[in-house]
Amino acid sequence: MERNTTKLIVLSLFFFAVGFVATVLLPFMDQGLMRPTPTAEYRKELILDQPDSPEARGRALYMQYGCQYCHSQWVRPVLADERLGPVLRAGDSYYDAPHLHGSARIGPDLLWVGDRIPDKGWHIQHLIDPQGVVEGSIMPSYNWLTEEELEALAAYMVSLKYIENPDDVVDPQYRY
Amino acid sequence: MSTNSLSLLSTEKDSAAKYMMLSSLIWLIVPSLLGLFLAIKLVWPDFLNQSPYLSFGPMRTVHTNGVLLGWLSMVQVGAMYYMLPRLLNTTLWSERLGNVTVWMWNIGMTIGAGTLFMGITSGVEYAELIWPLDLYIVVMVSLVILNAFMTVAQRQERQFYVSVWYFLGSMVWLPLVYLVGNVPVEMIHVPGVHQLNMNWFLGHNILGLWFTTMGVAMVYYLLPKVTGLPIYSHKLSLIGFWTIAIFYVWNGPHHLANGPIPPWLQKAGIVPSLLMIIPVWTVIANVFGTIKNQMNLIRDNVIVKYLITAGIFYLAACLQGPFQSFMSVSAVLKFTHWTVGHAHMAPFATFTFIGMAAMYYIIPRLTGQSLYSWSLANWTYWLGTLGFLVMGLSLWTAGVMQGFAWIDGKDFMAVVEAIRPYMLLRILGGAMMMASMVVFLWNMVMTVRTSQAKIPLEQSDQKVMVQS
Repeated sequence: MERNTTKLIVLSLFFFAVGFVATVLLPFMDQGLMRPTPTAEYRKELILDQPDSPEARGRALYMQYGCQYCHSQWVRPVLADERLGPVLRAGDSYYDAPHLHGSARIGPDLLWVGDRIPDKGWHIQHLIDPQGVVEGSIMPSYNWLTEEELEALAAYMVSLKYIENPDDVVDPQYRY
Repeated sequence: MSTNSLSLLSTEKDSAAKYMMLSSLIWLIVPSLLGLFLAIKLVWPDFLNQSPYLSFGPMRTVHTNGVLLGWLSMVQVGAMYYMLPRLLNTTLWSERLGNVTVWMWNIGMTIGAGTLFMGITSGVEYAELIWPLDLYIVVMVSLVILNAFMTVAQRQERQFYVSVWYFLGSMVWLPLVYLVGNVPVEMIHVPGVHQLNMNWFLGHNILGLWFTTMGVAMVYYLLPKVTGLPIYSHKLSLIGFWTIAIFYVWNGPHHLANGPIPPWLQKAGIVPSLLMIIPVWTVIANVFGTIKNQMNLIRDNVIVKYLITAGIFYLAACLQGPFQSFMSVSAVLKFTHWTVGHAHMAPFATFTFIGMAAMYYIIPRLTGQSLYSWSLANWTYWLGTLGFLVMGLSLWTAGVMQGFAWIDGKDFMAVVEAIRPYMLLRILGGAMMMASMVVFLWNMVMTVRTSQAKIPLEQSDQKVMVQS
């Protein structure tokens, strides 16, 4: 093997394939990961089925300006997330392309922000003047967005709400 | 530099390595400066926020893509263009093709940075470039792979030194990892949580099966060359290679700890993460084993100092990683600034350091003159190392504070207020890192300038680095 290129390549590919199949392909067999929730269906109707809706436009702007780099949309069954609303289910983002779960909370989690702050006017004011609305905020102002864009982003924020799901375990097991 | 250095597609020996490494400096300096701006924005949000192009999100994507796809990938490929032919006792199969990839890389990065600044993004973290650019990158990387394997095919030396294994493994894995993470979800629907999983398959493995394997290959080349000492154990280095090949690819799901995935998948990601201690230990044991009787080299030789420090930070990153992947630890640290500190450690304090060490070694050899200043190289080292420690320690402290404050149910804004001093310290650390890179750029520019008086090359490596 210390002289044979083919063996080296074949073995490298083999070990890669094993890990890839186990951690990327096998999960597709898991039915729990393949069932959209009512929340997902609600967002599909608003965004995926109506690409011209303010909510769809707002989601595109959210992606374009990288809101997900500071705001997660990901509530976990852990103590730190206890006050953020229902725990995220695999099916909640079933139709999301791409997912916007994020990886940091430089600002607050927005998974259910529409339930917490259902007032579009608040969101528009907050986007224009974050420090005026939340004292000490480190969010930059988005006052260079057009009125239509601000409306769209606010519509998207308000659409981020929890839809009753009969399958949900009422009391998720909070750990850690 | 020779006279045909200005021709666009040179066939001169080692020209592809030289131009790849020198042009990578653009992608070290500019995106890193943006990183410093981002740190400033997190304290003063209105800094450079007058236009959408300079807002936080787009700037962050140019920062991450620029340093990872630009600087780190380019300096590593450039080093491979230099090292691979020497290890195989041949020449690079096609210098012209190598120079094609130099141009493709710089043009692609420029277009990529332009699109990201304009907010044209796929929205997938670490895979933000849109699919036409992804295709461009696949073609470009294919040309690099072709060149590498054709060089192997025409080799005179039958035996593969361990660096060759690592280079070839990287060549096999990079395109696969890249493709999995960049599946165009707007065309092929992948359910959100699976796409999240694939996103972090890329996010983790681009580090493990590209930057790590290329970087380790460079260390195994440089350390014996610079010290004149043989590698401590060949067998150990092969154990390291195969344990990376077997375990690294499983680690993606640990980024989804406590997430919306079944426990079996979380554990399938976490258990191999713990096993990562084996490959990192083999590298560390080998590096220290090699110089164990001549520890004075760490003091006397800047390149050795760089490689040892990179190794120590590599160990630290690979101890931190498995620790963070535990569900209980992740429950505290995920989403905090801790992760940001961790995410900077390997790319900066390990692989950027190895990239710099490689350039200190290679560039003087390709230009035929000794390094402009070893004293400046020492400045680069200390500014970079101390700067990173200031930034890393402030981010880790802030992250632990955030994690436990959230568990305590503290008001979000109170936590933001509490970590502000650490965000200021982070700017200080970032500024020192930036200063280190500027000194490095200056040193490199002065080294390649033809007006420099020539000093015999032999002196440039062994030159003892002590204050006179």
